[in-house]
Amino acid sequence: MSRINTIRQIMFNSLTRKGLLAAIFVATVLLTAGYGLGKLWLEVPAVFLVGILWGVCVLRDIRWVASLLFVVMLGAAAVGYMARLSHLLMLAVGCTLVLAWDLHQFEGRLLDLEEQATIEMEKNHLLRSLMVLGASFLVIAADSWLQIRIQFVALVFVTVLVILVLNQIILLARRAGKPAPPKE
Amino acid sequence: MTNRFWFLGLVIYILVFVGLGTLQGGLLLLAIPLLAYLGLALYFSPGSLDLTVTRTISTDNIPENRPVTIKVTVVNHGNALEEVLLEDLVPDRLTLIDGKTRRRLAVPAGGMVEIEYTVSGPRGKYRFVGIRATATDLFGIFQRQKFFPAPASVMVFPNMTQLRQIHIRPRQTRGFAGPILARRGGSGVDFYGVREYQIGDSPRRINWRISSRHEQEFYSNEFEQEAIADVGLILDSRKQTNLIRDDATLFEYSVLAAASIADAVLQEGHRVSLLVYGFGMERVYPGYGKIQKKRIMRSLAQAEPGDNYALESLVYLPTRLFSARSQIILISPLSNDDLHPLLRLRAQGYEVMVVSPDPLDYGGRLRAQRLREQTTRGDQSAQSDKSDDFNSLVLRLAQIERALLFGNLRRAGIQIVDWKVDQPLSKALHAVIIQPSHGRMVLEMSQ
Repeated sequence: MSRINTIRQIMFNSLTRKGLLAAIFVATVLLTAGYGLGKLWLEVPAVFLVGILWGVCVLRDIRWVASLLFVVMLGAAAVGYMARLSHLLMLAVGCTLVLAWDLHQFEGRLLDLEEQATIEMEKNHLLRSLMVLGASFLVIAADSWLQIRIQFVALVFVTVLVILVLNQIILLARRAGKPAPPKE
Repeated sequence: MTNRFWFLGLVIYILVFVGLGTLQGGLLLLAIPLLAYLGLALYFSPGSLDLTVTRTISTDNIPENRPVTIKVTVVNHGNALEEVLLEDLVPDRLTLIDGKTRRRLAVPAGGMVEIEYTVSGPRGKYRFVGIRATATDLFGIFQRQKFFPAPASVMVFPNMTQLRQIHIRPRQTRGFAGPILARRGGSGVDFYGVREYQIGDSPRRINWRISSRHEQEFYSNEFEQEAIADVGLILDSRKQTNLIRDDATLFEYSVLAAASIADAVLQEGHRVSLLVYGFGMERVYPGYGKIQKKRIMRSLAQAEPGDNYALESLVYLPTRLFSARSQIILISPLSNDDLHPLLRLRAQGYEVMVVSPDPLDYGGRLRAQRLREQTTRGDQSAQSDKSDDFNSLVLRLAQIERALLFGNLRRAGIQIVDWKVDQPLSKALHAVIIQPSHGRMVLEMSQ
């Protein structure tokens, strides 16, 4: 059974797997380059090792680390941003990390899928992920020539807006509570 | 919404608040890919589920551990579902032999999906309630779950062994022709007596030897009528008599015996009823033939050992449920308290037979097996000589007690089948010595 799964993985998950490894590689290289350019030499190997660790976990089919490593690397990007490293690189890291995290999660679900559905679904999923990536890169491109300034009033306004949105999301989540399965 | 949604929401929340708190616009920008991801997932989140589910079962009555194939057809009447997990909620005690009970796939609008699998299980009634459909977007962020009822049930009948013939001889028989000598004159095979000739008697029946001794009268031979009988089966499902250990019970053997005897007796043409006495009193009213067999099997399939303080003793056995002076067959491991209720049954004119799975033999074998396992594992504490001696003594006393109980029952004319459950039931029944009761042969069994 495990052999069949392995074959399925090679046959059907190759696109997702390749995309996942590529995303991790790009994110690691960009993050390392950002820290390198900022001459934070102590952090460079640590960041690089985290990327390598994620890659190894992907190859060993360890899925639970995806969210943890995603947060670690995103945190590294945020810290880099605050340390006045290259903003463009850090934003690019953010985009590729989202892609890597999503592909890692999707690969886990892919094993559970029917073979006929897999190829089609894999294509659709990758297409949608690329849409996210494209939209994010557009924002990065815009960031390169747009200067956003936030005044105190705007800050308060944005904070209130965020609180309201989060409140609405929580209400929505409560309403869409799972229906309990009927007793046998 | 899935856990991934909350995770992403938390990350975005932290990024936004840290960004706002530290006045770092870049952190807000860093949250934008995540927001785009979430937004796209929300846009493509699954709509309401509109599915029709139908279930087909290859057969609704099967013997124990025989496979049954279940096919569930799901038709999507709503929008296309990008990713949906369809799970058939299968009862826990059933074992999956082949196929899958869940499928994760994409279903187009108007598309049809089939879930087919084969299961088997121990005796019982199994209810299939329906399927649970969980639709998610391709990012797995938003999900919608709905239960679709597709009720059906499968009855797994208990196993039974084929018993070739069971001859019983109750005091009371019924009016219809059958295999039991009815102690009444009429049409039959065995000679019963001679009576005065009556108009309508066949001349072949005239006993010429006796008639020649009388001047005016003729005499006819009479034959013993053969009729069917009422047989009442009582299955003892009291927990305290059936339970040997927490994980071992004799009840399955009792059910096997009840099913086998019911089958054999019904094949002989008798009218059979069943009473499952334990947690409650489950009753199958008297009847004949295959339909009655199905009724009895259905009742046995659902029988479970249970506790009920009101029914702890056979004293409360409702004897009026059985025809007067009919044959009663009790299937029970028996306890010492059961002596008087059985004697009472006998005194009321019933012919009583007890088929008793031996709890001491069964318990002894279980204990020996456990000791063997412990020895194999190298657990030296299990081999205490003192403990062995004590247990042997207890077992010996219990055996003596059981032998005394059986002796008392036999003296009252009750037939006892002491069944060591590692032996075939047919062999145990065959081994019963036919004892005359009140000068009559009451029971004869042969394989």
